[in-house]
Amino acid sequence: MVHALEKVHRLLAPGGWLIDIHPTEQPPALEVRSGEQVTLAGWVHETDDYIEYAQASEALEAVRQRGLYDLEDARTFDFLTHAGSLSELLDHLSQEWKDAFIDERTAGKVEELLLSAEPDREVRIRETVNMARLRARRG
Amino acid sequence: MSVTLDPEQNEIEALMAMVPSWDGKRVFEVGCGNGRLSFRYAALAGEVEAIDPDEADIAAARSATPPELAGRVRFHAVRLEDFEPEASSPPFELALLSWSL
Repeated sequence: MVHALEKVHRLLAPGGWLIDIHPTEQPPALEVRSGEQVTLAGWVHETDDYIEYAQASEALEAVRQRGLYDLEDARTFDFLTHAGSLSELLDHLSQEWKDAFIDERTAGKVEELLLSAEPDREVRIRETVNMARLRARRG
Repeated sequence: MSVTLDPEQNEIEALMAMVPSWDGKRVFEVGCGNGRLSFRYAALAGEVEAIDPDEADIAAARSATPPELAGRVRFHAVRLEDFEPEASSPPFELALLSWSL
C-alpha cells in the first residue's frame, strides 16, 4: 500500500491532491427498513478486509510521516447498499464482495423482519467510510 | 427491486465537499471498477484516466460511458504498478484512490 502511495505521488504534480476513500474498520451494519422504521438486524462479517482497511490507514500515516503528503481534510460518510430481499443481497455479495458473509442467525432475523405487512421494505448494508484529502509535497 | 448502491449520493456529496476545485483538472482514478463513481464527477474535470485490473469492469465502464464524456474519460484495464501515462502527458493534478488502497 505504501508502494501504491509512492507511485501515485510520482504521477502527481507537486501540490496535487490525493483523495483516498476506504472503509473504516467498523463492521458494516445490516439493517431492515420497513416503512419509516429501521431495525438493526446484525452485522456483515468479512474474512480479512478489516485488516486491509487498518493497513490502508497505517500506509497513509506512513507516507505522511515520510513527508510525501500533507493531510488537509478528513471525514467519514455512510455508504448504503439497498436490496429488496435477502437473496438479492446475497447474490450481490457473492459477485461483488466475496469476502463478506452473513451468519445464519442474522440471516434468519433479516427474513423475519422482512415478513412485515408493510409493502415498502428492504434490507440494506450501511458502511462507514473514510475520505481524506492529502496534498503532494515536492519530491 | 434490484440492488442499488448509494442512492442517497453520500459518497459523491462527500467527494464534492472534499475537492476544492475540479475545473479543468487532469484526474487519475485508481480502482474505478465499472465507472460508478467516475461518471458522477467526470463532467466537472478536464480529463480523467481511470484504471482497474478487472477487464470485465473496464469493458462495462467503456460501454457505459455517456457520449458527452467520450474522449475526456479513458478507462484502462491495468494494475497501478503496471500503469504508466503517455510520456507526453502532463502530470495529474488530482488522484482518487477509489476503495482501492
